Amino acid sequence: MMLWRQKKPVTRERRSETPNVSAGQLIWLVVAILLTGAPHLLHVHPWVPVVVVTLLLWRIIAALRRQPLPSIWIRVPLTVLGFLGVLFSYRQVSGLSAGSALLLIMAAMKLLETRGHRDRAIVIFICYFLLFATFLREQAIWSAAYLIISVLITTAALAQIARIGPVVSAPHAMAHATRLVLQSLPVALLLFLLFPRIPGPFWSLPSGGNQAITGLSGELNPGDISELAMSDKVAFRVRFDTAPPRTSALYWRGPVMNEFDGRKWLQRPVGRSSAANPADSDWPGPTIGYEVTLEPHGQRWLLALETPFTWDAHDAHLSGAGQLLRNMPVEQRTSYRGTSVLGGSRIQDVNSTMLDWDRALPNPANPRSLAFARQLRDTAASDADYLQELLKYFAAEPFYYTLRPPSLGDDPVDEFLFDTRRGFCGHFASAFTLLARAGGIPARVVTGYQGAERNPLGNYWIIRQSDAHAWAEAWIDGRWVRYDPTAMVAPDRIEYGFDAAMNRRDEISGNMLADSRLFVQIAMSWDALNAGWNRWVLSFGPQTQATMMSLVGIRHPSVEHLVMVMAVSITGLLILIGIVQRVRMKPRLDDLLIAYERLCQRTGKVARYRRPSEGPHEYLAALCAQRPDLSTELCALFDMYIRLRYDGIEDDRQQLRRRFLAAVRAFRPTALPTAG
Amino acid sequence: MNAIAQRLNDTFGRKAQDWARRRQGIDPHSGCLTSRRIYILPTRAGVIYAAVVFTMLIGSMNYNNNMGFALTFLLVGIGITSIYHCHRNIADVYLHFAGSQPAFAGEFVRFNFVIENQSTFPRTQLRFGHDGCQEISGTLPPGERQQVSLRVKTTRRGRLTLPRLLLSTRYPLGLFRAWTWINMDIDEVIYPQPVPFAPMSMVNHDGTTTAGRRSAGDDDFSGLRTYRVGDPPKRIAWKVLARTGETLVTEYHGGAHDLVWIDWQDFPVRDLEERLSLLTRRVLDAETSGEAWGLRIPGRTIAPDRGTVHRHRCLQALALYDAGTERG
Repeated sequence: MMLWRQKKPVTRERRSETPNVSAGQLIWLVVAILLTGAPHLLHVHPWVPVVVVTLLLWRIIAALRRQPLPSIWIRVPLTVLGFLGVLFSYRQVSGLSAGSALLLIMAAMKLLETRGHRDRAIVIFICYFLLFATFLREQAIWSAAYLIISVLITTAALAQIARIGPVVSAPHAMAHATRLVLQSLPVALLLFLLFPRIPGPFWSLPSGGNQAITGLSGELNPGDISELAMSDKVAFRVRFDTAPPRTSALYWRGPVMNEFDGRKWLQRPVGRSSAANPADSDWPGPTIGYEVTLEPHGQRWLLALETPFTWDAHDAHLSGAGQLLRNMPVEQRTSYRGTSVLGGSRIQDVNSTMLDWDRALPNPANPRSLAFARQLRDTAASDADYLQELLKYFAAEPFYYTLRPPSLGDDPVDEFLFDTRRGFCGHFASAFTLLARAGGIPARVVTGYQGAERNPLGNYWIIRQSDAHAWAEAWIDGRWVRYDPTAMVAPDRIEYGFDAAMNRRDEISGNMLADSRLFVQIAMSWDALNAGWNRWVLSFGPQTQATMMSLVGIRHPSVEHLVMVMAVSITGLLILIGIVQRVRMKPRLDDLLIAYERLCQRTGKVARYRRPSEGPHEYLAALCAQRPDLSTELCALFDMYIRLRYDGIEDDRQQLRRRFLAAVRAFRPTALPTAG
Repeated sequence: MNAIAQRLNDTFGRKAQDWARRRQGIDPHSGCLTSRRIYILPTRAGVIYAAVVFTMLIGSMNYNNNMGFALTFLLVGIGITSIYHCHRNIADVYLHFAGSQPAFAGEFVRFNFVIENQSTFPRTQLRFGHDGCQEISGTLPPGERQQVSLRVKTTRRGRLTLPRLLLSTRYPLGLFRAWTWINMDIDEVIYPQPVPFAPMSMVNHDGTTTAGRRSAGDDDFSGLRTYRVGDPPKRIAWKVLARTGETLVTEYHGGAHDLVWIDWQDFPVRDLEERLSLLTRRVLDAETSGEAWGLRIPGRTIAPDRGTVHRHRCLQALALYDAGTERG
């Protein structure tokens, strides 16, 4: 009854078998924390690194001086203090920066109480989380190298802290960890390729990644795009299935603005639209297939060539404004395929309400523009003629394309059209659209990117933020037609790209080297490498998996399919490794010895086991004395063994050997019934 | 928390041990620990590791973060690989029992073993022992053997059975523990604990007194005889040894009155254990004095003699007097 109450002396002894962390192990733990913590140090509040380094130094000094570690009465308040510090600095503990700050402090605090093996292991596990958090921030190609190095060192550290007794030397530990990681690669690779990827986040990304994402915004305040033009960042990359169209025809459709409040253009939700079928309408151009790898921009829209009609991006739909929209913001690099036609978009289910919105004018503002528009419309024969007249007006009047337009007052379009006449694509598109509307024609502003730069090394096209553009669309004869007033003012912008229009690339990048061939080549190689990384590694997802599975004959794989394939292949791999290991580790004994040992085992079970010191003669004598009933059989068996082992017989050796092995296999002695 | 874990461990651990024992039976004193009898389970650190990896998997799935997936799956791979390494480190190790020495109650008795690595790769960080005592090997290179001495604390005289042994390893990462239980049928005699001082005889019998007597007459040289284990070195005839190479011992004339009897009746102490302790002390003293002595205890008389074999026989008789077996 009381048995379980007995205090076992055992536990205490077991505890003491894993003594406190040794100096060698401590170094490995500190290195692991510093290595995995380093990328976070720039992103957390400056007090966090100070606290972490102080705690680490404290721990190291305590180890050097053999001082006792702080008691729980010091550690608990310190931990609470660290937690509160993060809470006050970030107003939350769940964001990415707050989370990594908390992890850093936890790792350093845990190091102060490393008593048993588990405490030490937890420090390494926190390092794993720090490593993971790094990849939420950054997945560039160098992060792969960082991943490998960090996993090697943390694995070596895990092996070192699991040791009892002195640690092994650093090169030895690293060599061992490398072997372990290399052996883990097949399983890891299979899992990476076959683990079913489920599209879409279950919950949103942690906020608090404090860098703003550059990209188009959901509204157009003429002049906004000029800020983007200063950015050399890649917006997305494109690969065409066939020969690409001319650069001047590459209008990449982004957010469409259909509401004007007098100063800025906004997106008004216009519902969904079904994609037009290019087969049954008169399309101005051929269809073009392409693949986009979009950098994350934190917004819901996807970029597509002018008029998309198919796309394979999951959970995306075509809006009434001909825009590809996803349900969730693009927080990760995303890859999708699409087909488009060039020229104005023809949306079949356009309704009159929507067209009315596209004719709406903000009442009080810009009176001079409205008067000008009415006057011009009256002289024009048709809507199309009127818009052509407008374009001509932009071409004829002294308009200037500039990055630094003067600021505008309460009637910005009036001031721009008749006073300043200096502006950027946003100004031109905005003014044109307003004039079109004033003439009674449904019109809207389309923002996106125009142009592309080819990377000859990867045979793909780069679209940078500096390619951001705005143009207009007007409803003419039952379809939307593109009008780009900027092309009237700065044709080079459309024909050769933004840099040609401004003719000062060096000014943008701030570096004279930008013009040198070598620099361009290096930059292009680097971009090609990154594009490959993005395409093959980072964009690996449900679509890539489906393509991969179709190669082995499984079309449209479901999650169950993938799980099956994964389970079968990984189990197979593990069994294979097991077999190889068994074969390789088998001690190379000759079958004669194995058979003899089996014989001794069997006789041992029914009589007594052979002592290590006993030879076959001696053991046989002992056996016969104990089991006279078996003596004939035993004598024959042992005699064969002795002859095989010690007589130098040659003639019938193989035959005797086979006979002996068979006899041992057949030898099944029964135990004597135990007396009493 | 710990108490619950401990109790669970006790209940299931005992059941598992009984099951393993039924499955394996009694092990020979020398043999190979084949992989059929190796068990492997994650350690507590291993369970936490699994939880960490699972959390990362959920995070990677949520954010569709391929670098996160890469890290997670690499860690899964490392975990699985470490199972193989852990198992391989312990499977097919050879274990040989290499004798033990009797001890006095209250002391540690040592059981000697040899761990042998017949494989082509080294074995690292093997832990060998029983509850309460674990010896940890460093690295055992291929083809090498290592002697391990296990101490078992004794409490009372009698026969001590070797407790169930455990050979285990947490190599390489401490995430898994592979182990095997070894039940060898080995016991060792535990002598009674001797009293710390030499007792005087409490009753004097006719002629065969034990106390205060001068040691065997050094003057009365009686002749040479062959060496027996336990003869004091000062009695070895070194000159003869140097001349002929034969180890002889000088013998002095003793006679009947020189025989020492250590008699049960001399120590009429009520408590049995105390009585045996007194007798043990006497045996040890008689042994160091180099005389021949005999032992008389109820039911057994051992004729006077000298040497370690004789000493062991006497002490064993005392140890096993009306005693059961102690399970270590």
